[in-house]
Amino acid sequence: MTVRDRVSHWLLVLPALVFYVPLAILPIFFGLALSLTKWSGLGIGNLQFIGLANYGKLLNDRMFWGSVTATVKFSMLNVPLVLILGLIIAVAINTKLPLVGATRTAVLVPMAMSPIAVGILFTFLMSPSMGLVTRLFKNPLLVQNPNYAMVVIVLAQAWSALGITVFVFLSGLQAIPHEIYEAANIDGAGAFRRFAQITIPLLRETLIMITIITIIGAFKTFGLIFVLTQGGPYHATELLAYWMYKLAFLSHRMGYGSAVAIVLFSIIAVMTFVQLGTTRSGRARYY
Amino acid sequence: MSKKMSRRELLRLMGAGAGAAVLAGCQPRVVVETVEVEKIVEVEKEVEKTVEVEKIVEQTVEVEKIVEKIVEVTAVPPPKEPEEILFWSTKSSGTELDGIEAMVARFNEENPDIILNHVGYETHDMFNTLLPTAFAGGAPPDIFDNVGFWWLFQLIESGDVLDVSDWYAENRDRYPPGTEAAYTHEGKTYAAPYHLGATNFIYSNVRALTDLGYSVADLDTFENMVEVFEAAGKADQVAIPQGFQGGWNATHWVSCLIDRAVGAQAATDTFFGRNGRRYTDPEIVEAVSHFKDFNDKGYFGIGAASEDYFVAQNRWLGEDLGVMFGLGSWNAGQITGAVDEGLEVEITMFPKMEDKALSETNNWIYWIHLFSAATNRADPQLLLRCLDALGSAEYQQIAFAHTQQLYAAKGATEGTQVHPLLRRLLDLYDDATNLVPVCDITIKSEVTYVMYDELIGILMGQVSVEDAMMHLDEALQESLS
Repeated sequence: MTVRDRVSHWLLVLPALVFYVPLAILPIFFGLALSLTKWSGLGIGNLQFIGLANYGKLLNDRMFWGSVTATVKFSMLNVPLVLILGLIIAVAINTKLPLVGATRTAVLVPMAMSPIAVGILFTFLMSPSMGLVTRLFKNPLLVQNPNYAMVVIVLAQAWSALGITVFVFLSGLQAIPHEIYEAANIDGAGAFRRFAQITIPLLRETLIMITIITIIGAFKTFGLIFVLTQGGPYHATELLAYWMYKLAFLSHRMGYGSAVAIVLFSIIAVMTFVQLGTTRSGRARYY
Repeated sequence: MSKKMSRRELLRLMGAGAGAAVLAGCQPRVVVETVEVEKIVEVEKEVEKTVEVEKIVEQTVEVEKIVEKIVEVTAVPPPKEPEEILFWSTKSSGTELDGIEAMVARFNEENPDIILNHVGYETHDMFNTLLPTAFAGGAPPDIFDNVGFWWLFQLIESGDVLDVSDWYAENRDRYPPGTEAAYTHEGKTYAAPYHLGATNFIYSNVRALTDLGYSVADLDTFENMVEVFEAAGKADQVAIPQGFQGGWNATHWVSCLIDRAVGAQAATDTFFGRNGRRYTDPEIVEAVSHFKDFNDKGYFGIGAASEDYFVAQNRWLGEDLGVMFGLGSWNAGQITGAVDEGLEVEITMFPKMEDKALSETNNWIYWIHLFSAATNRADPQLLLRCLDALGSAEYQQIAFAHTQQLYAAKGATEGTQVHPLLRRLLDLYDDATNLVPVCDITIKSEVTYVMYDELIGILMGQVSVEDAMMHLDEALQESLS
């Protein structure tokens, strides 16, 4: 690469960097620096450098492990639900069953909604005094019950994330050559066998990619929790992202909250690298 | 004819000539000196004249200066743009917003050199996100609403709040005694008190109570109150409709129970972790156990499950579904405007351990809204004018006319139509001489949400009272460290 090429490359990325560096890169380093302090968030004079003490405290904090457990539980419920439903709907749309257009629209619409809007919608549905769902189940306290609150959050998140999942699966399905299915038909393979032995293996990379994206989405879930449950009842839906917010902005423990943010960032970064690796290898093999 | 000059004559002539010459030599000098002296005299006269002129000029300049000063003092200054003062409050909807907007309109009308720009935010957003972020970011509002201990002292310690001690010293007699601790730090004052919330008031639906065979007078002791709860349950009524088994944590009830158990001062010490008091003290654990019992026995209804618990409260009251409700002064304003005229409501005090009256020392202010000024303005006089007006009885009467709630300034209800229900409450309040400004059971902001969570955990059966108090104590100790 010549010097001129390098200069032109940098010039091309410069507009993006102008926004990305101050709004994304610098805050990461700022957060990292804050995680080494004890600070209420008010008055820089109150900031105290405490080294890695926040990280040490995290390891012994029951709230941290409770939050990690809730996040993992949420992911374990949310990810399979989104994948299974997403794949079923994508296959249905791909095979051009009746009402495909309506189904596609119904599935894709939530994609355009912000998590806050989804949260408000579910708040109405679950309202103890006037909610449709609470009246159907004759139980006014669904979101307020620790046993049901997580289920409600999982369903809301799944509904919200289903559109993008279907969309990605659909593109994967449409990339599978028809000749393979035709050959299997000639060999006498039934629908289930074609699905199990052709569709699933050829969707392997797509599956891995969408799984990782969904897990990342689950770890980042904040808006829904903020609107629907505020992490409750009694920490039942207090996922890491919400707990981080609560520490930093409600309990005013900026340093400790930043340490949680760095841990969360690290988890998501690792998964992102895995996803990037998978995507690259997938492209090399199938597309 | 010729005559020879003798030698003697010649010498005489020469002598005379010499003398004449000498005289001639002297004569002109005398003339010149005379002229010069005259000139000098003239010059001196000129100088004198000049000095006089200079004196006149100096006097003229002085006169001009005086005239300028007079002009400066007496002339009308050029029209000046009014100063904009940004004012954040937590009065963001309903009658509270109407009340504060009316106050601001009046202020702007009376103070043409100031534009008070009011922005109302929802309490949760204001205290948890907006206020700390605005101060940390160096762009705070000029005047801001705060609730006693929640943020004020942290902001004071970071030098962000205007010291208004001198103003307060001149206006101390405007406010009831006992409120100052909420806005006094190391002997200095930092706010004008505004809106009070007093707990420990029980509102009873007299008709529902009578149907059960009881009267308001029967609620005089804790045991009698619990007996009424039991009777309500047996009659398929809800004892306390405002309580909520699911999402609302009923901190008011907990604060009353702790107050009842140890008194307001000890309760305050507990909430602050002072004087050796802790949440894990047996009396506190026992008091909170009563709260759990109330819930386990079904005394709390789910009326407050509605998004607006005042709406729920009024529905339960209006339909005679609940016997008792509410524990706060703020309920009065909501009841008066929203229920049937036929509804008879009476206010009594939450029964104390020793049944002490409100005027004794075991009572408290639940919270107190304060207006403080930031130190970001070069001219604090403008801000003091705002605080002076907003903290006055005259202005608080304007808000009262909309909200029918308690205000901090003495006389805030004078000349105002007061609902009989609120009159009773105000009389109780006026009798109070030693209010303890507890300002919410969740004193320290760091502990607030731990308290909420733990109470929900108790209500949900997710955590024992002992463990909940231990968690709360851990959070408080962490905060204090």
